[in-house]
Amino acid sequence: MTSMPGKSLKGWLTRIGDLFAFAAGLAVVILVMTTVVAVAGRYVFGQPIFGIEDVSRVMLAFVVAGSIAYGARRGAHVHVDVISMQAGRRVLRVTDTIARLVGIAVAFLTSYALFTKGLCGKACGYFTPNLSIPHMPFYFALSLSMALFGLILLVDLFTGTPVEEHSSEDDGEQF
Amino acid sequence: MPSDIMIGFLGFVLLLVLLAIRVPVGTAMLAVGAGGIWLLHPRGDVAVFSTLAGESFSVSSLYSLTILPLFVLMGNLSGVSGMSRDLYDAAHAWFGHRKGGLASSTIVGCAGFSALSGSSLASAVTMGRVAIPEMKRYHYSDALATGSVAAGGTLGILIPPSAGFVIYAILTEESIGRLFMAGVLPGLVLMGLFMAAITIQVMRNPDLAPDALAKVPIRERFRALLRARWIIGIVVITVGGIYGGVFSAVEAAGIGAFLAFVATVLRGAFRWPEIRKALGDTLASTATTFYILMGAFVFTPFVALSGIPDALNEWVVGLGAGPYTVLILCLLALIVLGTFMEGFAILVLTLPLLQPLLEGFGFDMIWFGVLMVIVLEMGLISPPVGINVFVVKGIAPDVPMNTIFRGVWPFWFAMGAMIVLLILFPQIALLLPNTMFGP
Amino acid sequence: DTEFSLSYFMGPKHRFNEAFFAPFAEKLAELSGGTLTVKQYPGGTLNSNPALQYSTVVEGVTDIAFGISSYTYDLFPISSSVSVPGICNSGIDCTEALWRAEDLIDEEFDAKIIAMWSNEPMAIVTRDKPIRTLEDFEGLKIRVSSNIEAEFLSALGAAPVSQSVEEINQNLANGTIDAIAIDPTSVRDFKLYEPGKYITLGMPTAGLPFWMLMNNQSYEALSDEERAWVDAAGGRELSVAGAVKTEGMAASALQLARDEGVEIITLSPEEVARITQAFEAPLNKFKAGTFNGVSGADIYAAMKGE
Ligand code: NA
Ligand code: NA
Repeated sequence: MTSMPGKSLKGWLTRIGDLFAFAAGLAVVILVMTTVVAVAGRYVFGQPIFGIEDVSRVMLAFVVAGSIAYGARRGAHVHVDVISMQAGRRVLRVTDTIARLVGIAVAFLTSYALFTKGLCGKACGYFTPNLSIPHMPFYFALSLSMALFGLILLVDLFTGTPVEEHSSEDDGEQF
Repeated sequence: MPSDIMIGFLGFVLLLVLLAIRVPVGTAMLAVGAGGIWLLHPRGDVAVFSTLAGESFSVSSLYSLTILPLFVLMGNLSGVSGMSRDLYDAAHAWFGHRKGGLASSTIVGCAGFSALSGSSLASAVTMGRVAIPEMKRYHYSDALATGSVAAGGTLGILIPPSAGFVIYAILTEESIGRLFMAGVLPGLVLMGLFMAAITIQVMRNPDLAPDALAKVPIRERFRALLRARWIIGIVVITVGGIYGGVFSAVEAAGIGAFLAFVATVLRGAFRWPEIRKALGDTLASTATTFYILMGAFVFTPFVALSGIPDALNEWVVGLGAGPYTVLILCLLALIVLGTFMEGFAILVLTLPLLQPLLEGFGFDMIWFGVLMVIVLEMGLISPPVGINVFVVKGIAPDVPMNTIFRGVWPFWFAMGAMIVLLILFPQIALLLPNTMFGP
Repeated sequence: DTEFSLSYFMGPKHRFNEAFFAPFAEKLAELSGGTLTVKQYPGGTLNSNPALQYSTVVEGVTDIAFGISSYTYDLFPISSSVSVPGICNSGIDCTEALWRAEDLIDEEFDAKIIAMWSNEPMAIVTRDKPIRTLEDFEGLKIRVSSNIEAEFLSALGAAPVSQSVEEINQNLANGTIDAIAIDPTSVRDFKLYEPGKYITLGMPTAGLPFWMLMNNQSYEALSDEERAWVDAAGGRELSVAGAVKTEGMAASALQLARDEGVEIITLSPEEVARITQAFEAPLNKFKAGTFNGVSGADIYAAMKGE
């Protein structure tokens, strides 16, 4: 496969990833405001808002859904690098291919699981405990994000992008 | 037909192989967890899909985890708004004149910033960008300058808020607020030990740092402190708010992020590209954490199904070793793991095994959480994989990696001393949470 | 031989294991001569989310699961109705009430009911302010366990909040909340006697509905004889016997709180009457409502046995 279709496909995936990131960024802002409103409700108005954590819960699900696809593009998913110091290029090419194949399988399997389970909706008890906000849209968002994650890995596999190209040390790690 | 324990054992081996060939930690745990559940569960085909979907969604909608993106955002915004620079300048004004004082200021600045940041990496990056150029200007040795940033940054997960404690709390079902409070005093003591490590170094080798600088006049010192009022104010409100019962730890994160945003605007630092970067970095951190957590939530049921925790428990109890022998062996094993593994992965991989074992011996899991976080801090700066060292290398590209690793080892021993102190005096960790919430 | 998997999200030392799960397994093994056994998966091994226990049993991830109706109230409004004040006033009484409405509740579950029971009516734990009268509820930030409790306590002027149970001890200690409404045994489980100084008993309310359900396919795959053993090991008898046991545990938990210096307050008959009066508006609203196609009044009558 030549790199051109891969590149343009990658451009598209990047754009979709950015769209996810935009939505997730918005959700982070809503998450902040929800907390402020919850605290203000208790102190300023002397009346806690019953079940407002449910709004935080679904916003978090949305943030996670948006960030996983975005993080895949930014190379935010941590791997342990002990091999690249010892192994040669050829070995790395083989191991990176295996690593990507595992990643692709896991991403699509999880995406599929989330989609099919999400369909069950209310009958399976998929809604928040207090305000009964349905989980279904958030299951689908997470499913889409995992699918996008899988697609990004698939394109990387065909274009042969080295794993290092994605990892930038200042992003994405918690510790 | 291999036994369940054998399958569990092979699962661990496969996990290590996958990690060695650079499979991301989350992916590796999801893959092995799903495969293991399929083999071990009486209805594996049904259970795999149910677990993948159910656990990955559950972890993504866990109320207590909203704390993670919120605190990360708060830390990122305080970098954007220049508040972290003010903090360093204040530390500089108070401690800079002593021999090795800029390195000590770096440690104090890192500790202060850690009260806003849940992540050691963010602490090292944010403070390093400010402190390393300054120490270079005054001809500090590269080893001491970079070492103090790499080590000081690790305080990010010991001084609350802390991503390390949040994950630990989720995995062990301990209280986040209690763990946060348990980290305060050890964080301050460790800060002191780091400063002591600097003093001992410069006494033994005066070439590491320039001779004492001129003292900053007292008025200037207070002026610098006044300029840092924004960040100090936010820390007092958020951490003080948790301690004083104004809000829960999760709420403190939301309020802190909001205040950091307000401060950014009021200080005239609101610039769209930087806000976008702060949000983007927050999302990247969220992705990292939650993807690994999803892996952990799928991997843990596999470990439980295999029966390994019970078997391990029986084996250790059968050895007849005393509780402290077992504890020290556990800590040593964790320190070894920490040399090459990422701290987060260590938590999620080992806690399902360690918790039942240590609880069986009657150890306080809040106290052990503090010990574990310090061990993770050691891992952050120890070769071959020391993430904080890599980060500092990114800020100071001209300093060789070996020089940084040479600079961090005194701090590594300071952490070791902290562990000994905590084992001898558990009250350092338990005093605050127990006075606040009762034993 | 058949080995049933039994999933629950608490640890194996939880009182429900002693009162319900283990007795069911013992009875089943005894009746079947050891051919039907139960293997426990405690601690959320098969699913860690309390609200998803129902879906795990319906999907067949587990043969038997334990769960709580009010965690997914919209799905199980009928069984959740046992928490409506006035229907019953003790764990045993409420367990009987659930079984009186068995036919209605059976429709809610796409699974076979093995057991269903209720815990004790709420104890109200406070730190600063003892609850003795109706007026004491005014503006009280109180943590509740269900939507129904939230609605009825609102009618007393309280401000109900929902909080995860792991955080309530700490939140009462630091004053984020004023009070916790919870079953008496949880006072011991979550060490609420440490931050709490007062416990008020005698509220004219009921506990929460719990269940053990069996996957339909797992049940139907059994022979007639085996099904009869399962029916006999579970059902009303197991449920009521378990409720009797847990009542004893609740009493000892309260005794522990008393020993720890907590003042135990029992509401006077006059205050109970006033609170019951204040409950009337939401109660009438409940009776007028429709839940999974059944009117609130019919549920109320069925559970009361009227
Ligand atoms: Na911190
Ligand atoms: Na290391």
